[in-house]
Amino acid sequence: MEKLIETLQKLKVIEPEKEYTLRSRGLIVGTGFERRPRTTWEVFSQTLQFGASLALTGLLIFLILGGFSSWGVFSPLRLSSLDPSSLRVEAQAIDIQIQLTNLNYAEPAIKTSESTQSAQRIAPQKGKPNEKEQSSEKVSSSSPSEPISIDDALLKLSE
Amino acid sequence: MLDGEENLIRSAVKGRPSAFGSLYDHYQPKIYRFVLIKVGRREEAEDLTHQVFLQAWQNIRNYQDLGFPFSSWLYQIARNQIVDHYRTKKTEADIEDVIEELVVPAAAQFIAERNLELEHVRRAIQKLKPEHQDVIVLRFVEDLSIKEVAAALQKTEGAIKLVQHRALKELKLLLQ
Repeated sequence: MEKLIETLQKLKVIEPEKEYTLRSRGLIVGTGFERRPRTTWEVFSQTLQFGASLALTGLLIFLILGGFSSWGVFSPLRLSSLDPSSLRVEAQAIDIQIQLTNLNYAEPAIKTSESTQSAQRIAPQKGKPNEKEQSSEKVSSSSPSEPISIDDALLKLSE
Repeated sequence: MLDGEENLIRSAVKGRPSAFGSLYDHYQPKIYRFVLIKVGRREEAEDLTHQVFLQAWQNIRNYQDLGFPFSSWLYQIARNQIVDHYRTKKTEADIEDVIEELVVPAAAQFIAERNLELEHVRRAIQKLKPEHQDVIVLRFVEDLSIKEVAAALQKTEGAIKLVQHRALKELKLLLQ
């Protein structure tokens, strides 16, 4: 029996490979430690933490989605410029009057004066210019930079 | 028992990896030996030993010092791992068939490294009942006391003495 026990003790020579040991140890020790609550206080505090984080997340989502509308309702600092009803009233009150007082006929006037100048170069030999030429002269005599109303311009052209 | 083992265990329970690393260094060869003698294949023994320590590390928070050595807790995990291993590998196969199957490839590996006599003993141990195997390995290979073996196998000291007696007798017959 003693011989048998001696033989059994020789099995102690069995050892794992060093490479395997290092690899296995590294993997195990590198694995995260799983924390589980043990006491009632730990369970309570973890629940509290979870609840608080959930509430904060909800608040953040509410603020993001609510945006300016909720700000306008709840904020003590009301911004009148951001109030849509007052903006609408203000927009309706504006009297839109577009005046064409600065209509500039500079371009057609220049063209007209050029044509009359060329006509004058030919005309002095013929004598007096006709009425049309005079009227065009009148048109051209007015300064191209001088602003005239569209009614005046049409009247002059009809003449 | 490892020097300052209690402090190491306390630190490991708190989640300190270096403390568990020291426990691993001390107990890993013992667990590996225990597993290899039972399963026979090096690769399987390596996988199972790894699983044992991984499980131990993940559940160390639940470890309670009941006056038994830390190794008995590890041996319990190892035994459960081996049982699960056989259960998942071949659910319908008879355990004896599995052992016979494992012996053949294990022999080639083991003979290359160790002498024939040890291989002969190892194969004889594998033919014993799992409970007898545990007692033989823990008592005579790992030199645990009857009390420690009883703690590891969750049996009374009287039951361990009885099993030890039967296991030695059976092993002797197998070796003859």
